[in-house]
Order: sequence, then structure tokens, then C-alpha cells
Amino acid sequence: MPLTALDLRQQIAAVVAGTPSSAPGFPTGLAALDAVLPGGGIPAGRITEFLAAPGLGKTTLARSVVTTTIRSGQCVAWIDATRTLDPRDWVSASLEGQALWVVRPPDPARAPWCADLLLRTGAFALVVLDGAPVLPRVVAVRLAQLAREADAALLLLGDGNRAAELGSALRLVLKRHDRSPGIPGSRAIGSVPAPDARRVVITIEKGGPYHHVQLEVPGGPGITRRLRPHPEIPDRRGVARSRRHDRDGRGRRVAQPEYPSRH
Amino acid sequence: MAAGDASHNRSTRPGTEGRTDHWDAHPLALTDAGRVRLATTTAARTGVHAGMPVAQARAKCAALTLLPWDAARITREIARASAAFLAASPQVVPVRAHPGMWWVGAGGFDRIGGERQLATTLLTLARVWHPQARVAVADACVTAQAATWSTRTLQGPLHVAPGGDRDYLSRVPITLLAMDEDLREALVALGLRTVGAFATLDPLEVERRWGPDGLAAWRLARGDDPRRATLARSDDPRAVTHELATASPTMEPVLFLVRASLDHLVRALAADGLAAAAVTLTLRLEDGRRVTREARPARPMARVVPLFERCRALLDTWTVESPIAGVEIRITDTTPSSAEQGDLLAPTWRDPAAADAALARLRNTLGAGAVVRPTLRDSHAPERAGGWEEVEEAAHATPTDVLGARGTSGGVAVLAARLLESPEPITITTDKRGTPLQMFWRARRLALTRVHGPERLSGEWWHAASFAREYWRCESEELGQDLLLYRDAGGWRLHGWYD
Repeated sequence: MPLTALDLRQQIAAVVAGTPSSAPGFPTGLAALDAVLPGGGIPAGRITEFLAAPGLGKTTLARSVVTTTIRSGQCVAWIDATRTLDPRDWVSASLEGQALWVVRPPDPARAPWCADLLLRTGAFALVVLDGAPVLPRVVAVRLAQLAREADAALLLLGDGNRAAELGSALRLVLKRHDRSPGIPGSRAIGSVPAPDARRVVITIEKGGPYHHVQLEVPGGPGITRRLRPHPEIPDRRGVARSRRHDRDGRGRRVAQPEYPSRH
Repeated sequence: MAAGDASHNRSTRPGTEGRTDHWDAHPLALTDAGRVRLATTTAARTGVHAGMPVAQARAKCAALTLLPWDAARITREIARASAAFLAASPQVVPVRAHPGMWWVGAGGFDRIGGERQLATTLLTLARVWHPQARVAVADACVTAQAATWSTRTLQGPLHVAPGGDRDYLSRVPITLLAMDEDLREALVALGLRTVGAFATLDPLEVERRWGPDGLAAWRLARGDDPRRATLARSDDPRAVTHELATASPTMEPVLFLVRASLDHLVRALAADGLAAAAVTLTLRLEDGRRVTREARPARPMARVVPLFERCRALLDTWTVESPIAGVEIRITDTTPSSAEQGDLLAPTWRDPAAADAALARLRNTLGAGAVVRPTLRDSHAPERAGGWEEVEEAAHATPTDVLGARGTSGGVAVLAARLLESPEPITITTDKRGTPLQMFWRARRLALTRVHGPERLSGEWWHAASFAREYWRCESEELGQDLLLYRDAGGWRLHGWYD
């Protein structure tokens, strides 16, 4: 869309004043969440926290933010302090993720320094600090200042109550909902509900209207019984003839969900 | 830009050769400080060559006419010839220390006759100046220079096929490759006669025996020539020298001086419309030695911060055996400021040069393998089916579908996996069919409520990393996690979880 003279004047005024750009935030890719977030996503030039216990999908949610950011033509850096990211989840089918850098420091304590360096370059629109120790106040202040100067979003992923001693501009907390199906108003990530979806409540604790968004987070790729490497070759091992079964903690059978085959 | 890359790098080199009614047909030599600096073709045929003492040159050729080297006049003549070549191409660079040789950009002429038309035009212009000027067209300057020595250039311009530089150079005599004289003698003594034979040497061995100069010559032998025909003029290096008040055993004061010097140098460069392509740092040690290293950014730049990051990355890993008494910062290579123009009002524009500088610093500090990109590999073992490959150079962000094969599945985003680098041993109790019921991990007993599996994976028996595992995906209500477990000959292990 062509710029009007008024838009141009406002942009120049913002640049001259040195204020952060009025650009919208980075969408999370979840329409239900973006609709209630100020700016339609996580804010540029600010610190955002995603807090959740492991297994609730904060990595998946952050990956969704990364995806939308890269699709908008910007660079992203992900600092994987725990060195546990599975590269298979991050490979771009087309360009091998050229706009994504993953920094894997040998020591998690170096992760904030990496974030400092990456933000200082101003080359990245989004920097994700994943699995780092809780940032001391001094470090957090410094990173917040760098994020503001670079007009970049700094996203902190944490397991506890907070990821930094300094309050972030936006804090989303993911908590698990009960497993009963049919929560009204829940939305799935993507267009098709997953077979083994779990329900997660995302709460905007800070930086926006206090709001709950219920989401269905599908399970992982699942376990497939890949016992026949070639369709023409019959597998004669015993497990190939056994039936699938799911059991609870006492060994009793429970309902069997269907998993999409990976092959 | 990609479409123009190959042709953009193609360079031409007009040369000279004498003719009977031309000054080159007379035995002339220009002298400087008692030595011959330049000789005509006719003089060269009698054995006179550059660097020879004047008396020896006279002994070789009695009819030799000696003229003093007049730098101002030669510079004026080079400028005049360069101006004439500008009628053919906007990229004309007189080669430093080689009067009579020019690099001329041959890219972007596809719509106006292509390289052949350009070469013909250049030859016409050059032959006004010298009746037997020669022109060669190639991807790299080193190839174009070597090609002008071919006798075929006497009949007309010689074109080395695009991408054929290395092949062409492989047959060229090694004497035509620009290199240190000692190195050339050593190579000849080793029995290497062609550039191709030199190019087949192991670069590590070349660097070990002949240092950076040898490695630079080896790169030239492979057609890897960083020189480009640009709008840049051949100017003197820009340098700033500092003496420390007291010799310092650390780099800390050097960093401050480098930063301040770059501020000054880069400002002067930018004022001239130039960008720095290489910066050398020379440390003068207290014991009198001087050590020099070069920082060469991936792309020329005229901004202080990324250049300083490059220099800092260099200094961070530089250990010196003696306290530092002084430092010289020198911009040794410049190009016109033709880098990508940033957009003041576009919030999405990010500086790739800054990313390059950050990459160098991270790699220097954290070591190799710290800055990576994801990639897929051909393996069924989960920890080897994906891998991380080193980021070599910052790339521009391109809108792309970043989620790969596993990221989306039929429109549904699946949970991302986290894999432990070293799977943790765990204890599992199973039912009589071998299905996991409980897990003992880190002194905790966890009931596994939903269990899916097994997925039996095995393979790679052909090398030491063979595996045969039975994978289970289990859910622990207590942890609220989907865990990925496996059992192999070594027992049960926790491999990761989904998040």
C-alpha cells in the first residue's frame, strides 16, 4: 500500500524523535491470541516472557512466532541455552532456514551475553532466549535497552514464575487445562484438530488485558510402528503382529488415539 | 543480483606489446634509485628487466636509453588512458604497481552486445594508445591477467568461458602467477611447472611452509581472486599509528585505540564514498618485533561498529609473547560504497554486515559449532536424522516456509521435540508384555499414564554408531510432559520430551 504524506510525516517524526517504531508486533500465528494482544502480537523493542512448565507447548508457540517473523522477511536468532532443540523441527523445506540462526552456547550462563551481542548488531528482528537462567536485573535492564534501540523483540522462554528479575512488557503463562474434551471457545493451532490434543490455557498476565485463551495443542509426531522398511517386504517379527494398546499407570488399557504416520 | 553475479566478476585486462614504429620498439628503460624499474619489450628481449642495476642493464644492452622514473607524468598518462576506457565501461581500475594494466568490469553488457562487444571496443581504445594492446576476458582478474600472455590475444580478445577459470589456469605456466619470488623459486625447485599443479597442493601444507602469502598465491592458483573491477581508484592505504604510554601485556588498551582509530578512518572513507574491504592491525611489541593480522569482513562496509567487532574478534584470540608497545590500524583495501542501501523508514531492514560481525564474534568466543542452522540428514536415529550446520555467512531474510517436514503435518502444527544431547539412564518397570508402567528418574517415581509404542528403530550397523532401539512415547501426569523413552542393549533411557 503506498504511503500517504501523513504516514510519511509520522514515520519521520518517530525516527527523528528516536522513539520505537509504531510497527505492529510479531504475530504469534494464533488468531485467537493475536486478537487480544496489543499490537496483534509480541511487541517490538520490548521483552516478552513465555512461561510454562516443560511439555505445555511454549517451544511450539515460540516457533510459531519465529515462523511468522521469518515469513515477514526478517531475521531471527534463537539462543538454545539447553542445547536440546531438535533440528528436524526447524528445517525449512525450501531455503533451509537461512533467516534463522540457532546459537548453542556450550554454557547456559553465556546465553545472556549472546543475546546482548545479537541485539547490539540490530540485525535481528526477534531474538529468543530459551532455557537461560533467570536474568539478573542488571542484565535484563541492559537487554531491554538494547532491544529498544534495535527495535527488536526479545522473547524469554522460562519454566518458572519468571524469566527475568526485571518485569517484561508482556508475559504469557501457559497452563494445562483438564483433559475433558469439548471446552467451549477453544481453538486449535492450525486448521484441523489433532487426534491427541491437549488443552492449554494461555493467560496474558502482563502487558495486555487480563485474558485467557484456550488452545488445543496437538501431540508430537507420535510413535509409528515402522516395522516394514519397504512395503513389498513383509515383516515377520512378532511385534508386527501384535495389537496396539495403550495402558494407564496400572497397566489397564485405555482408548487408543490414531497417530499420523511419519512414513 | 544473482543473475548478474557471474558476469559482474568477469574482468578484462588490456596489455601492451611493441611494434616497429612505436616507442616499445626502442630499447628504453625507466630507472629509479639506480635500478631499472620498467623496460620496453625491445629492451626486455636483450635481457633487461625490472629490478636490475643500471650498470648491469647497460652491460646487457649498449643501445639502452635510460630515462628517469617520472611518477607524476606516469600517473597523468594512466589517468588519461583510464578516462578513455571509461567510454567502454564504468568500472575501470588501473592496477596498482602495474602501470599499463587495467581491470575493466565486463558485467551488465548483455543488452548492448555482451562481453565480446566490450572487449572489441576496449581493444580499439587501447590500440590508440599502443598498437598491440591485448584484451582477455575472464571471471577472475588473475585469469584475465594470465590469459593476456597467450599469443592468441594478438589476433583479438581472448575469452575464458564463464566458470572455466580454474580449468584455464591449470594449464598456465606457474611463472605467470603473481607471487613472491622466493615462493616461485621454491615451487619450481619442487618440480611444479603449472598453476594447476600448485593448486592441487594441500592448503594446510602450503600455509605451514609459506605462510599467508603462500596461501594467497594458492587461492589465486585456484581462480579465487578477491580483486574486482570496480569504480574504486587506486589510492594509498589509510593508517593510524599509536604508541602506548606504557607497554601493555593485555589487549584492553589496544581495543580502545582501535575503536577510536576506526572512527577516524571510517569517517574519512565515507566522506570519499568508499568502504573498507580489509583492515590490518599491526602490533609493535616491546622486544621490537611487529606482528600483523588482517580482518576482512564478508562484504565491504563503511561503518565503525561491525568493523570494530571484526577487529575485536581478531584481538580476542590474539596472544602475544611480549607486552604491546604500539599499534597501527590500516585500511588496506577499499571499494566504492556500493553496499545495500538501508531504508531509514523501513523497520524490517536489517544490516547484514552487522550480522556478519556478530557471527565472527560468536564463533570466536564460543568456538566452532556455536552458530548453526538446522538441516536434515539421512539417518533413522532421531538424534542423527537432523543436524546443525555451521552458519558461514549472514544471509538476508527471505520470506519462506520455515516449518519443515515435521513442523506441519496436514495443516496441524505438532509439538516441537527437545532431545537431550546425552540420553539419561532411567529405570522402568513394565508389565509382562514389556509395556512401561512406571519410571524412576532423578529419585522420583513417575506413573506413565498413556503409553504408545514400541517403534523399533535400528540401523547404521555398517559403522561404529550402530543402534537398535525400541522407542516409547509416554505421558506422565505428574510432570505434565510427553516423554520420549527408548530401550536398547544398555537399558532404558530418557531421550527427550515434546514441548
